Parts: sequence; C-alpha cells; structure tokens
Amino acid sequence: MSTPTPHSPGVAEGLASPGRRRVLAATLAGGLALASAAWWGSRGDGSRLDDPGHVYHFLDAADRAVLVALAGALLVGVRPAFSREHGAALAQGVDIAIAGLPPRTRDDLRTLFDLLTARGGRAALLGLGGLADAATPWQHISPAQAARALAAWRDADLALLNKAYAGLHDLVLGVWYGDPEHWAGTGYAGPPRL
Amino acid sequence: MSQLPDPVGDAFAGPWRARHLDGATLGEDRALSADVVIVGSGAGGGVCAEILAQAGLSVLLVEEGPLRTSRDFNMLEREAYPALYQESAGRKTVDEGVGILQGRAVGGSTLVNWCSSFRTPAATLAHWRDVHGLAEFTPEVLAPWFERMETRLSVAPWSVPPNRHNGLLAEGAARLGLAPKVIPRNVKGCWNLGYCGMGCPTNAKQSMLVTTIPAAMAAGATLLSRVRAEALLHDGSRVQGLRAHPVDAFGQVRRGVTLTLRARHVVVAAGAIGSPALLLRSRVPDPYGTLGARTFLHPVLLSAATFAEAVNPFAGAPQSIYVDDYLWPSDGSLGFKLEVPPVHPLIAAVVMGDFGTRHQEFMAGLAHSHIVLALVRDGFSPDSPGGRVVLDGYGDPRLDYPLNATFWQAARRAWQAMAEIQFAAGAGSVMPVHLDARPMAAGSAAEAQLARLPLKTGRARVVSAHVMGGCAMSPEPRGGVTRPDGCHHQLEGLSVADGSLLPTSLGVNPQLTLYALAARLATGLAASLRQGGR
Ligand SMILES: Cc1cc2nc3c(=O)[nH]c(=O)nc-3n(C[C@H](O)[C@H](O)[C@H](O)COP(=O)(O)OP(=O)(O)OC[C@H]3O[C@@H](n4cnc5c(N)ncnc54)[C@H](O)[C@@H]3O)c2cc1C
Repeated sequence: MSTPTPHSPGVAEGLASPGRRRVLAATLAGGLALASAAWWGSRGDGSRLDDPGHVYHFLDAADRAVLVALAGALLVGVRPAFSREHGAALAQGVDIAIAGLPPRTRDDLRTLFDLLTARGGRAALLGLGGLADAATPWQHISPAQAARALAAWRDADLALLNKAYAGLHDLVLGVWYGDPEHWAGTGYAGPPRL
Repeated sequence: MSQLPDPVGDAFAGPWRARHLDGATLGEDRALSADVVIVGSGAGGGVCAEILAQAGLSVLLVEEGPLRTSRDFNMLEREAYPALYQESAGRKTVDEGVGILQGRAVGGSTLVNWCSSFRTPAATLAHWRDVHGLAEFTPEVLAPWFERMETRLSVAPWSVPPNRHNGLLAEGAARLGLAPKVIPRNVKGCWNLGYCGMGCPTNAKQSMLVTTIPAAMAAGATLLSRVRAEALLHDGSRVQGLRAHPVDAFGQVRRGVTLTLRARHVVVAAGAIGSPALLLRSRVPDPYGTLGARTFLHPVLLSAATFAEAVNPFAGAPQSIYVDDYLWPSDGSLGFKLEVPPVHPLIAAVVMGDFGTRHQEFMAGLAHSHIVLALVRDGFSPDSPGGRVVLDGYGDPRLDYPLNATFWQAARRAWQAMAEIQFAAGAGSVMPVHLDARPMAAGSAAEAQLARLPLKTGRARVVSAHVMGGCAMSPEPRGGVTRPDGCHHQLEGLSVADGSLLPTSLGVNPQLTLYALAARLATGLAASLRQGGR
C-alpha cells in the first residue's frame, strides 16, 4: 500500500478517488517514468550521491535492497564497473528522481516495490525469471540470477511485467548515465565550460 | 553556472520582481484579477501574452513549471529533465507504447525544443479545408502571420555546415537520389553547442523565455510560475476565471493552498494534453464528446547505425537537415519526415530499452552512433484516429493512444528507409530501435530482419516530442471543441491558443505553425477585448 510522503501533501483532497490506492495489479499499468536526479546536481557544491545525510522519502531499506540487486544486473558490463558499493549512491539518485514524478507514477512504483519485497509477489515475479529458490534474500541474489528475472519480465506476454521491467530499466540506467562520472566509457566528454 | 549574460534572469531579479509570483514560496490563499488570464507559457501562451499585454490589456500568465533562465542551464541531463519537462521527461501513453517529451517551465516546450522551424505544409492546410471545413486556412491567409513570427523569432535556414550527425543524413539521402534540405532555425548568434534540449545557456535560441515573455513583462504582465491551473470557474455558459494551486520545489501540486484568478477572458495554452486536461477537470460542456479526442503525436521510430568515424551525435546544432521524400506517399498511407535527434548519454541509455552486453556495446560506441528519426504524419485518414486525453484519479492527464496496424505499416517502411540512408552514408551496421532487432550489415539479411520484426507495442521504441490536437478547431460544434478563431464553442470568455487546436498532425515540427496561429488568434482577441467584447 502506498504511504503518504512529505512531497505529496494534499493528494487526498481534490479529485483523488478514495479507491485509488487499492493495490490492483492493473494499476501498475501507469508509466514508470524516466528518471534522473534533479536536486543533487543543483546543490551546486559537487556533493556526492552517497551523502550519508540523505533522508530517504520513498525507498525504504527493503526497497533499496531490491533496487541494488536488480541494478547489479541492469548495469552489468558498465565502465566504470558497478559494484554494490555504488548501491547507496544509485538508490539515492532513484529516491530523488521519484520525488519529482506525478502521484500516479509514485503509486505505481510503490506497488511495484511492495510486490518485489513482499514474499508472495516476489516469489511470483522471480519465479518467472526461473529462480529456483524465490525465498533467497535480495542481498544474496547474483547479478546472473537477477538478469534472468529481468529478461523474463522484459520478454513476458504480460504487459504488467513488461512495464515493471521498463520502469526499473529507465530509473536505474537514467540515474547511472546522468552522473558525469559514468560518461567516460561512452566517448561523451560532457558539456563545454562557458 | 555559466558566466554569460542573463538579461532575463536579471530583469526578473530586478524590475519585474514584484510582478513575478513563485508558487513554491506561496503560503496562503490569494485572489488576483486581470483582463486576461493565460494558462501556459509555451509557444501559444507566450505569443498571446506579448500581443495581449502590448494591446494594453492586463495579463496574468500562469505556468505550472518553474522560472529558469540561462544562468541555470548547465547542460546536464539529470537536472534539465526533472526541472524542465513534464513528468521528468518520462511521460508515456496509457499502454506505455509511446514516450512523450513536453516542456514544463516558463517558456514551455519552446525552452527545450530543438529549434526546427517550418511553415505548415500547403498539403496539410488543403486537408484541413477539404476534410475539416477550415475554409480560411489557406497559405495566403497565413503567410503574413508566418512572416511576422519568423521575423520576431529570427527564423532562418541554418547557415553553417551541419554537424556530422546531420551531415551523414544529408550524404546518405543524396547518394540515394533523395532531396535532403536545410532546416530553418529560430536562433540568433547560435554557438552550435548542441544543448537546445536542456535550455539554451547562451540565450541564442529565440524561445518564449527570451522573446515574447520579456516583451509581455515589459508591457506590464504578471507571471505566476509554479502555479497550476486546476479548474475554470464557469456557470455552464460563461467563464469567470479559474482556480489554481501552487506547485512545490519537487513539482508536486499543493492543493492545500488556492489562488482564485478572475478575468474577462481566459486563454488556455497549456499544450496538447495539458489544455484538454484543464477543460476536462473543469467539466466544461462537451456535447459531442470531442474534448481530448483526436490527439496526435507524430509518433517517432528510430534507427541506430554505427560508423567507423566519430559522429558525436551529442555535439552541434541538433537538427539542421531534413528529408521529406517519404512524407506524402501517393498510395495514401501514412508518410513520415526524416530528421536526426540530439543524442546524450542519459536519454540514449533509456531509449535503448535493452540491458546487458548489447546495451553496453551501444553505450560504449555512443560517439560513433548515428540515429535517424522518422516522425509519422498521423491523423490524415480514418484509420489514423490518434489518441484521447483522460484524467487519472488525481486529475492528472494521461494520453490513451493505441498504436494500430496502419501505424505499424508506416513503421516498417520507415525503418527500411532509414537503414537504406544510413548504409548509403557508409554505416558499418544499422539497427532499428526495437527490442528484437540486432545490428545488421547491408544486404539481404538486413531486409529479412526488417521484414520479420514483430510490430508490437512495447517491443519497438516509439517516442514523440510533438503533441497536437484534443481541442480541435472546427466551424461546427460537432466537429471540435473550438471555433476556427480559437473560441470555445459552448462557453463565452474562453479560448484555446496552442497545439491542442490542430485538427490533425502537421507533417512538420509544430512550433512555427503554433506561433502563427496564436499570433492571429491573439490579435483578433485583443481587438474584441478592447471593444469590450468576449
Ligand atoms: C524536446 C523537444 C524538442 C522539440 N523540437 C522541436 C523543434 O525542433 N521544432 C518544432 O517546431 N517543435 C519542436 N518541439 C515541439 C514544440 O516545442 C511544441 O509543439 C510547442 O512548443 C507546443 O506549444 P504549446 O503552446 O502547445 O505547448 P507548450 O510549449 O508545451 O507549453 C505549454 C505550457 O503549459 C504549461 N501547463 C500545462 N498545464 C498547465 C496547467 N494546468 N497550469 C499551468 N500551466 C500548465 C506547461 O508546463 C507548458 O509550459 C519540440 C518539443 C520538445 C519537447
């Protein structure tokens, strides 16, 4: 279920319908949006994403474990290489990116992370990825296992799974390649100094 | 932050300070009134603001995005997309078949667009006259409005050599005997950097931020940024103003605080999707169910090639060459226009929907990539009905636009045409941007792969930066939401002046059409408001 966050005040008023937060699988049909991290860059002091002072407003510890495990697969082969030490920075970038998304999309993401962290949904989603033991904690899922699950969601005949894949893909790759430190492997030198 | 001059930012920090209200700082309810309230500060809203304010009318310009000026434009995708685009540049159609780029800042989409400036094609106007009853839309009637806006916004054919990305499109097309042409652009003293999509850091782009909006401010207008028009105030026959809410620093609407704006006339220019959404939230009369319907996208297909030479598709003026040879096929099928987009790492990584080795190979070769886009001219036949704007449970808009068989036929032809051009230009390999595609060498294997690609929503990457329609003009109430002069068919005191007016897509990038339409409508509106009408 969706929990109200500091950045969606007043959504219960106005046009929002009382039933909107019901966790129906179909609600995931919403756009899981392209993400990039707005506000760390605009602090303008070059502060890093793994700022220990970051207060997560959307992703809780369980969500972050899922995210980092899946990112290990989505970012396999990137240069510089992604390791779980980058996990906190990536999770903060995703957390900040989600702050700017519309309420509907935030609800969809909440549903997705709830499915991925709760045992039942997790088993179903991972089972589709051919994971033998869907009860393995996220911390112990290897990039290869996570990659099999992601590929299964990408290629599934179920739109719900395709969208889950697309949303995670866009958030993780968007945040990764938004970071100037990750351009080196692409031949993009970055913007000129003006 | 750049050290370059920022006259617009300076003026907002100085003389215009008292006439700019930033919703993010607003703590309590407010009531304001004016002759005219304009919703949206993009192509349509910016032009209307200038003309109406210079006509001596008091104007409130309401924009849900933030005020950002050239000193803020540091050419970083991760900052530009969340700050300057609708839904952080992640807007998608309901089934997620199409990704939609639209601006959300003072200046609207003109702040982040790529500067291509075309007049409405004569064939498009002929179709509007013949099929949509818009008899007055002739090239002759519109010519003075195009001339006026081309002068106002310094539109001229790109006069220096195209960057390599555009140059390869020209070379490939010319080798096939096609007729590549130079794109006119709305720039003044352009530095040829390539960051139009992240806000122009040099103020060369003649967006609404640096042209019509400063002119309106100089003529006494008031700007409300980070204020979202929620619903029109009306009694079923006349509009009296609107209710709005501030937007916080994260872009979220704060419904706990209300602004009540009263006006003799409301001009809705919140963009296609945004304008129909405001009218839907306002429950305006819609006796024929036309509101939000027939929304078009110029849905775009992409083809990614690899060259031995460095292409650097992120550097230089993003669009300077186009190919129209496929735009008006004689068999009546959906035609397409060919251009190239700017390609920076974040957007490229997202648009390439795969992951793992293949994705890494693409990203590692980014500097050698060449990406052509085909924008499909939708809406010109009954089997291209476009999409419909609907509201979600929060009152936010969504576009329901299923991709149908007619579109997919055009898609396959577009991938073929783009691959031929890229091979002719010397590409080592070409790959349609589609999850089932693999890089292919020229020859029969390529043809076989193209013929086999599944034409399926979600597998092919389809994007759009051109949203049009949803409040279509028509002489008949049955045919659309607005009259040919932009006024609402059912409600007095309300007109629309933006991309949502268009009865079909255009077959060219829309901005110049919208500038000309808005100039014409606003000039008529100013005259009648000064006489006490509307
Ligand atoms: C990345 C990109 C590249 C493009 N490149 C080109 C190009 O090269 N050439 C070309 O011709 N066209 C291009 N376009 C398209 C062109 O910019 C648009 O067609 C044009 O700006 C649309 O004008 P508009 O007035 O309809 O809407 P917009 O310019 O989008 O302005 C609408 C404004 O209304 C605001 N708004 C929406 N709802 C509300 C509300 N409820 N309350 C208050 N404000 C609201 C929005 O935030 C926005 O600022 C591009 C667009 C994009 C996004």
